[in-house]
Amino acid sequence: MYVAVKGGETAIENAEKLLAEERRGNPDVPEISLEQISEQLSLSVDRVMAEGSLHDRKLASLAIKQARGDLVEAIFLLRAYRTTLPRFGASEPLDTAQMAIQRRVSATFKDLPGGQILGPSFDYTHRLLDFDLAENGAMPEPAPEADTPVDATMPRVADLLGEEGLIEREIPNDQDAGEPLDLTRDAARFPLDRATRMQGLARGDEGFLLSLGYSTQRGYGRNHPFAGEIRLGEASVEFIPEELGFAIEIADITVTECQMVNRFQGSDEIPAQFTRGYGLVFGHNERKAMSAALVDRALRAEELGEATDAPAQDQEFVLSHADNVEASGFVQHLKLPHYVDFQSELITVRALRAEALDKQAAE
Amino acid sequence: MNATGYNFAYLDEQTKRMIRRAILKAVAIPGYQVPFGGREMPLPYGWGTGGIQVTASIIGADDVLKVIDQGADDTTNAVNIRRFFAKTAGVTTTEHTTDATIIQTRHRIPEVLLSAHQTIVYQVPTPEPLRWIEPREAETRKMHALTEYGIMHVGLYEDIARFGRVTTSYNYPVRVNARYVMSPSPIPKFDNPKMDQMDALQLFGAGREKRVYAIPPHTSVESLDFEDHPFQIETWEERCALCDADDSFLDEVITDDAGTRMHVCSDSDYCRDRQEAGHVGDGGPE
Amino acid sequence: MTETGDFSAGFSDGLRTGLANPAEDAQGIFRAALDAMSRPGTIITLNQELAPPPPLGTATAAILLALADRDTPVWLGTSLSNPDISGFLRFHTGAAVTTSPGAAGFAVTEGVPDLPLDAFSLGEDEYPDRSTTLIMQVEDLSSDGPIVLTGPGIETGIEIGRRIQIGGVAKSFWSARSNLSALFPRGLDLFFCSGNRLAALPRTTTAKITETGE
Repeated sequence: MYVAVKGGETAIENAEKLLAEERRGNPDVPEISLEQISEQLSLSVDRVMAEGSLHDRKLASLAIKQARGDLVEAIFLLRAYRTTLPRFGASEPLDTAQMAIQRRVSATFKDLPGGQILGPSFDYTHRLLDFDLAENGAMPEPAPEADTPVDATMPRVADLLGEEGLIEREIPNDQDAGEPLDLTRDAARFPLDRATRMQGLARGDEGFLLSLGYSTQRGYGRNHPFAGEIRLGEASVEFIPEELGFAIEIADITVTECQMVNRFQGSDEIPAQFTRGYGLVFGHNERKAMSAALVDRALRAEELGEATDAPAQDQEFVLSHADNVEASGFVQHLKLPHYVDFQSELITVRALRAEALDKQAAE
Repeated sequence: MNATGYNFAYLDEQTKRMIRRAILKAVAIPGYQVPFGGREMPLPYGWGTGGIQVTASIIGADDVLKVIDQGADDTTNAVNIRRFFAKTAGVTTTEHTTDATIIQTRHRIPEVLLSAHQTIVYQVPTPEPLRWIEPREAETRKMHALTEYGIMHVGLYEDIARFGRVTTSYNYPVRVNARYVMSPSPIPKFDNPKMDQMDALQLFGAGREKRVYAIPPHTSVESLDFEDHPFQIETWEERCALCDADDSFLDEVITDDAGTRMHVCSDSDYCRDRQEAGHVGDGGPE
Repeated sequence: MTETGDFSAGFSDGLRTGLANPAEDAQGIFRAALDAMSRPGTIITLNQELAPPPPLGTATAAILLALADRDTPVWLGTSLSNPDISGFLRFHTGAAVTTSPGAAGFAVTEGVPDLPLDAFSLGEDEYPDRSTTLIMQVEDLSSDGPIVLTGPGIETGIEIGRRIQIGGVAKSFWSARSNLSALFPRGLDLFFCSGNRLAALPRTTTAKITETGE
């Protein structure tokens, strides 16, 4: 005699217990601390803060710990927490020219005011597994300090080109339009303006943007990019409380900024010049900042009168699929029971087969 | 999750107001998809976040909530959503359709007629019925605005030309109040006729796509069809092996590795009610 | 107005009190509004104790307290434009009072607005939801009147439509309203409030006056 499956609630509770055990791993191994995650897996923390749209190292570290190191799951945890927080308003735009620089490179000039600063980078490391690291305890040798401190103000490369009119002027969004739309609180209405698109890119999945940026380099929406500048450092976040009426500094956050410089053929109205693609992310993540800059420029194709036939140039395609929390949820929802719809499909497929077989038999 | 420290029914009041305004507009424009500022929920997208946000916005302390997935109260996703509301809103929950004031559902409409004091909330993965024909939101918006639905009929008719029938078996598009073409959510087409002139209010929530829409009570809901190929629902030669029902949607259950099957009601509450009333099926294969 | 609420209810800092239990009360008021909008012409009595500044009525104030906020500018008809009402709304809802009817999320009038109905936002063909909700305070609201309503939310059985009496609304309003139906899906959704009672007429409801109305 058939008995329907019961006990869903107990099953869910037991699954949660099992998961907690798996997360902890072998109890003989010391438990990892949030400080260790924040200090020693700092780039994971950066990514989770960026795509989680919440700058809080401690919470991001907790999310990584809870998610057993699954970063997309950690991003989801952080987002679900973020959504319960009150929103006080929008900060003033970051002034990245004033940021405390840790790293700054330009591919378009050999040298430039303020200089090239290599900073902490994987770029020129030999990717050889360091077996010394496998033995805990050794402290790295301290890096030597430069004789002169870096300049307090470092002009952005793209602005240097602007002196000559060689690059488009960056015109801020309509100042009268008030606060920019908040993608996390308002439904997107296509077509989106550039500021809103950039929000989507900042929250977008690093891997997805990397592939899309790469696709533009391989000819799917080619836009002749040069890495005008990549800078990493600490920028001040300023906020104007309504009751004060003037800006106060509320935080210093580490950000990575990338300005791509792209050749533009010119149009009837505009002579040939350089245009920009822009990427900004929380923390140290050049791969994401550069990918976002490539995709930002690709998404400007329509505005600049260029052909728009590549995936990276299609804003509905890019922005509707860039969010990994949305994508991961929807892909994985296929695990949920679909047996009712499948039953309907069975009935239809059986009927179609019966008709086809009857027809064959008649012929 | 520890529910302390969260507002009644999880969502903050500002979010609820925003969703409530969207729901009122949805009711005022039957079948039209109202964009809303969908929030990130502590459950994954695609797992009912839209339905949960709608339920959280309408539910009150006096409500009695029923949650079903595939017609059943005991599927893990239904259990999980029910315990979310029991935890965050402390409301009474039930498995009895007739006792519920709010029924949140994924993929089914209960077999018993819903009444005027009830509201049914559908979880919707893809609210746009035109999405498979035109993937761009900017385009589908225009098509809805201009009532340009010819392409939808062409799509269905191509099926008829090729297979002699419409092959869509679930998420079968409907026309609401003779105006908007609407996705009924992935319910089997068996359930489509129940939407027409229903006494209960029908609300639809799509969390990932950030849309809500509605069908007021006593509103016409027609499944798209053609004069020479009228809309038809699924039928079974079998009856429910547990309660002998011949009028409910039946799930096929495979009972051994030789592929032996039996049929049972997908609506677990309907089936239990019938069994309690003394109806006995043949018990399925021994 | 038939009533103006209970003036013995509490005052705080010179501002009359808002909802006593914000989450619970707002949910109850919303459900009443949802019920009204889902079943056009049904008269619903709120059991809210509110003392809004006159001539703002209880049901009107309840709808605004439950649904208005910073995202919904409120437009007030001439007889309601006073600093007490503006202050009450700003303090309890955060909503700004706007002088532009087209920008209003909610517009509130005593009786028929002295503006053409399309001065309010009717939404756009692609986004018809972006329309003003008009809350009209009326002299009287009762069932079984000369106005016969049909449309979604109204059962058509032996009797056709649902009957309602809305006092103090001129016939010209009904013809102006019915002219908007040609613009569907654009349109105006209405709440009628009288004391602590309310009814709603979404844009899809057709209203016909059977006997000599006002």
